[in-house]
Amino acid sequence: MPEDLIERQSRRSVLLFSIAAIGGSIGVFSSLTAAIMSYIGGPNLTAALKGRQLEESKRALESQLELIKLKVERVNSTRIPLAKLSEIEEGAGVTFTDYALQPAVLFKTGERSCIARSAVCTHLGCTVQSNLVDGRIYCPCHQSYFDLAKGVPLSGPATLPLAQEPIEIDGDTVFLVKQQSPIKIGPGQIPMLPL
Amino acid sequence: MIAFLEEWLKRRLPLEQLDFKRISEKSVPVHRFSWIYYLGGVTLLAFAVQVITGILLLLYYKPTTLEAHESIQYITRTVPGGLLVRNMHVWSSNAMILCMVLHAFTVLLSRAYRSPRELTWVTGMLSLLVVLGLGFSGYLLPWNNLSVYATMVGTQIVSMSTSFLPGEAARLGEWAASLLLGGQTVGQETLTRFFALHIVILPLILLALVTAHLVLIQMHGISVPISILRGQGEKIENWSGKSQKYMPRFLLKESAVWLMFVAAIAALSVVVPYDLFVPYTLLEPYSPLGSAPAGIKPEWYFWFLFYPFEMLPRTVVILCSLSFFASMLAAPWLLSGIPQLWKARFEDSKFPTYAAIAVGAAVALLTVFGQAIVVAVRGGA
Ligand code: FES
Repeated sequence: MPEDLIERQSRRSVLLFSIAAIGGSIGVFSSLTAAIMSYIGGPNLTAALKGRQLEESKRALESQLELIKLKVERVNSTRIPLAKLSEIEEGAGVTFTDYALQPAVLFKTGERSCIARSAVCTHLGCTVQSNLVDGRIYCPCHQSYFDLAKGVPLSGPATLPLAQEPIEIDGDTVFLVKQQSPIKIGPGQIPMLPL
Repeated sequence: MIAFLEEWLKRRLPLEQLDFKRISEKSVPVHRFSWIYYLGGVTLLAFAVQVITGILLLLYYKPTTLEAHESIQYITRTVPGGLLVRNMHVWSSNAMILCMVLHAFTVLLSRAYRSPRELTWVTGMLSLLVVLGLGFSGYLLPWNNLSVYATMVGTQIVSMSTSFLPGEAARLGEWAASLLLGGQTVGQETLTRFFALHIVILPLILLALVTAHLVLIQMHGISVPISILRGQGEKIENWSGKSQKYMPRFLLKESAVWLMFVAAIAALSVVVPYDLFVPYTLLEPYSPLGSAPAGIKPEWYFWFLFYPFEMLPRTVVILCSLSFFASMLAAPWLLSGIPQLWKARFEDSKFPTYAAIAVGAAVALLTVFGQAIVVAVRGGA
């Protein structure tokens, strides 16, 4: 092909290409702009929607209040009721917050016996599940299994046992008891898992 | 020494080349691997999409543990166009990381990091780290089970990351983790800090890095894969083959690719919302009284780290990943230096190619077949 023909052809392809690109851009960007404009404008809040929103805020505030109450209780009392013995099912633990404000689980092990363990996985800190898997405590984050009675890891990447939490059974109620020397945590310091 | 440093810097930062009038004269080499030149641009565009959709999300998002989850629901369910905006943010973040990783891999294979472009590689690698940080910090913001447990594990890894160092230095990681958490556990302080990181601190750092990256590319011009240069026979330094003008030719084609990208991301966002891929229990609002739900997993771009954590002692994984990131940063020097150990010339040595393939294959294998590898190694359990 002569040089000038190539030149002309390539100019034409650039032109056609440009037209297609500009057309496409206008299509894509005008529809996106329309969507964004209505997004910025926000929804038309109907009464029902408004009501649902308020319900939601109320629920959130209530759960926040529960959490604050729970913290206050841990500061002020030396014994906290966790659950009714008769209501706990074997295999299905009850999650609670311990004195260090860390998650823990209470399991029923017999007619009148229970065991409570820290729920902070000793591998990388996930919260272990409250339902036993084949009688073992299970952390789904990296598949670690722990022995219920001894707390030791049975399989998976965790190498250290789950700590036991001090409890006592009084009548039909299981209590979490404050230990003499609670785990000390310095300000702004996360409770370190031992290596 | 000073003279050496001056020479080194001059070769890497040829400021006299930085003449923006010359953008009109800039040209892009044409060869059979020219398509790799689009990957960086697409990443850049994805970053722009992230900034725009991110600003839009800020109109309704509330960064408190009380309202974060609800505000995201509000955006996707009630605000018109909210589903589109949020999902574009998610999909484009995924696309951004994918393109960035592919971009880095093609640069490794084509040896575009070679002298004098080492700093371009380093700014790119640092950007990748910052982008992973953006992914990690953004993950917490919806305040659902998935995000909070991911942050627990992530900050725990950070706090252990220096435990192998001697003396007080071992506590560096702990200090960094407590700086991130702002308390004993993942809570409101953490959310506030991650929010700040995600919307201000990391984007600003990324912007600076990307600017440096682009300025460096402008100064050094576009690299040609070493295999193509070898095919030229003669001098390996300069490209004597065909080139096309950046303006308007390449820019036009690049814009077409960009346009397709935006259209694809928008379409994907409307048709397949990202949440469809995540089990519902993982997306429920986080409750301090709950436990980690089954099936919990980080985003795919962290899988190459996640699966090793299931199989190996955590200190081993931490040490390996730290050395991996360090050697990726130092790749230009490592890959050109190591062949000299057996007196091979970098240009002729096959080593840099094999090393790049090995790294790429390892990361890809762990990402795609990680689950199967874990089962094979641990025997199910
Ligand atoms: S955090 Fe529990 S197994 Fe890793």
